[in-house]
Amino acid sequence: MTTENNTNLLKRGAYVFLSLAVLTILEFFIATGRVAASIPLMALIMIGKAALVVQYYMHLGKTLQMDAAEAHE
Amino acid sequence: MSTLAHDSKYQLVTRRLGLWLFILSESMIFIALLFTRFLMQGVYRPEELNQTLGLGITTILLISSFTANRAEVRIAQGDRTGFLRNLAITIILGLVFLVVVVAVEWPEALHFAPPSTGYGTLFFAITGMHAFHVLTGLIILIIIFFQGKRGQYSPEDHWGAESGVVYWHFVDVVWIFVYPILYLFGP
Repeated sequence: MTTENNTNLLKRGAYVFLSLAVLTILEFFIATGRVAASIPLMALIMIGKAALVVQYYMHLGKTLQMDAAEAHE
Repeated sequence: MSTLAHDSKYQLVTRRLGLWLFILSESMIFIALLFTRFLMQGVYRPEELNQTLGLGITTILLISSFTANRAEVRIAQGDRTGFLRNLAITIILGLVFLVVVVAVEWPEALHFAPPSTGYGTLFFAITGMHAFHVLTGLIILIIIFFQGKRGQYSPEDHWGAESGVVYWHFVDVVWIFVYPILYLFGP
């Protein structure tokens, strides 16, 4: 892994965190009635947040890609 | 690719898959608990729930995931100081989360949702199971911290640190579901 790659990963980590923060605040405002309340909307945000963490922090995509590459070798 | 490099890559692939299978099996516990919430209580939510506290502890856990990610990237870069610093912040944030849940959240919830009530049973079962996972995650991160301090892990081989960090993110993902389902969903 190169230093440049790592710098990009740090930046990406920060963007993911900012997205999670914004989505959490939005969730809070929806629930406390400051935005039109909607459980399906909150559920959508919840799934979106989980997907961000799983994909970019837990590297599920990378794990699956590595597995597929291994199967072809 | 040489046999040694191939073996090492194969080992990493199987380790990562093994960890994901473990995470999947752990998820089943929480999926069952969270579905029980809707089966037993629908979308009922006590008015007395401390929303500010819920948002506060959620923020703490999200920041801890951010620093855990930075720790992982730092060790992949060979920056041990950055790795240890970010891991230490993650551990401190995890401890703060655990202390606030156990010492502030639970005593408050005991007043309006004791475990003898439907919502109380769910609230303490779900947050209790999550707190237990936070505790185990913290133990893992503390072990990784001291191993890192002793010089273990390198940019080429840091599977131990990576797996601990991934487990910590799993704890965060669980809370991403627990927080709205327990605190926010409601009429």
